[in-house]
Amino acid sequence: MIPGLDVWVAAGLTIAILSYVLYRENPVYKVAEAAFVGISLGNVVVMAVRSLISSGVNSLIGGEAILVVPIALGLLLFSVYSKRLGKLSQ
Amino acid sequence: MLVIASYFTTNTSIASASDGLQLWGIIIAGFAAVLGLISYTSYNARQIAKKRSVYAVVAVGSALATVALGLTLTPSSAEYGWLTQNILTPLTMSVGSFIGFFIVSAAFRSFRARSLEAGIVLAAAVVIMLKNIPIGEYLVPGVLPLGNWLNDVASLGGNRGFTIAFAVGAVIAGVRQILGFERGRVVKP
Amino acid sequence: MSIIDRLSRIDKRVMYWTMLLLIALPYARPLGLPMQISTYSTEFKTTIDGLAKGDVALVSIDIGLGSVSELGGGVIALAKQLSAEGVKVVAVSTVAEGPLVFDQYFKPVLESTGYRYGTDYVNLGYAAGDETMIARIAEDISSVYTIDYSGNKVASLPLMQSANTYASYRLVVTFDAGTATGFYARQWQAKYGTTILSIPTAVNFSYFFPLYQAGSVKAILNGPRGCAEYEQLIGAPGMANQGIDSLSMGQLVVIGFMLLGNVAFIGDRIRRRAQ
Repeated sequence: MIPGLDVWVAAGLTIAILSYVLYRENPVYKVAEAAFVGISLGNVVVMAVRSLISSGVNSLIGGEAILVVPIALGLLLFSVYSKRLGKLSQ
Repeated sequence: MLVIASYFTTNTSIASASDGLQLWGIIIAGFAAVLGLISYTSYNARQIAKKRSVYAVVAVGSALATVALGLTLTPSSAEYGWLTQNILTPLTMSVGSFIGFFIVSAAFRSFRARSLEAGIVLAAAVVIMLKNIPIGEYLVPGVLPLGNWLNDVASLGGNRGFTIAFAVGAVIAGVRQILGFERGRVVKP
Repeated sequence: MSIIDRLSRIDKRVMYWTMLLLIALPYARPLGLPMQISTYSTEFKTTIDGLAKGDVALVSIDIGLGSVSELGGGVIALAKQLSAEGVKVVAVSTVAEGPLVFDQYFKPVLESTGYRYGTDYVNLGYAAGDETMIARIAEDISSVYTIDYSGNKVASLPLMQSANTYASYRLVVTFDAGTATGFYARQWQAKYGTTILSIPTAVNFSYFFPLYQAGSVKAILNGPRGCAEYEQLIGAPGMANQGIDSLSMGQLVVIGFMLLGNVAFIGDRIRRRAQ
């Protein structure tokens, strides 16, 4: 690892974002913004999946069979992408 | 209804059923976040397919890379920690700083004392801003007791009103939902 | 072009650069102005002083990384005071970035004072569900968290074996960027009488103040200023005190441009009336 790489990366990203207000919209800002949205969303999903595993899957494996119901209901949310099964998501 | 009932009774069956339902709500909420990722990825994938945006590649790539890293290792791992500390944190803080910059231009262009009421709002805003900074006490002696009065008396009454109105509105909306009057999301047969 | 016209047409990038330079100035040359400590901050510190060694506190980090510039000093100061008192800490979060804030700012302070993970502090991480989750963990934390933030089984952690319900916690401290204070006030304080302390962001302070006035919240800090006062009270000025000078300059810039805009507006009005 390059010494001080973390500082350079953090400083570079900060300047990339601030270039929008201090100069004008530019490709460097747009890349940083896209990365921000992507990593934030990725972090939310990681935390949500771990929460799901912690409160749902592990308890189901531990013997609480009734939790099949909320897990199934949660999976039904994805039926919104199906034209045939879309109503089930409600 | 079960969850509401559990707040008003000590019946153990109702309490147990309510606890179970609360856990179900937590589990279903977790699925909603994953649904958000799928929606976002499919939208950006369409953008990529139509060659409308190069940045969509960065967005989707960074999202999927973060998910892959976080789920294969744990979020408390050194690698994930490096990603969040040196990439996500500066990005989040910089984007958050936009609010400060935009408030300056909004303050210049929009906070005009066009009427007596607007002037009172403006004066109150200036007092509260000065109260919250140490230099304010030196620039305008007396701003601290005035600002505290505005916060503890004037603003408190308004906030109490908002809180009560919001709570009553939430109860009414909940009752309508339970009784089936809110059918916005239900597809008509 | 008259002065009034020039004033009305200031390029926003001039405003932004002025803001940036004046905010950065205190880092090169700190103002170091003393400030009056409010009763709210004193009450907050005194409440935590009342805890005994071995008591357990629930710390709810309900802010994201974007709010760390406001409340980060408070996070570190709370960690210092709790560790100085020997209070054990269980951390939860209702926002996805909360555990990151705990890992980056709270945990290093605890570990520097010799706190051991699993025995003296635990980071349970994020759980979905907002108020539902907060209501559930009051009754049974282990039903919501079977694994902690690091993937360890919660049942295997010594601290969690005796800290599964509201009864085990002397108080709850919530760092709040939106709604968590209300959740804890309704689900912990109103139902079980647990002491709630709140550290909201500046914009939320007046929103939660009625809860403090009503006694639902025992003590409350006023955003970044409250965190700076709290740091001074515990004798460890840090991030919040460094930032308060920048906050002062930033607020002055906003007030300055607000007044400038009104000068331009009134000047234009007078000119139109004269014509």
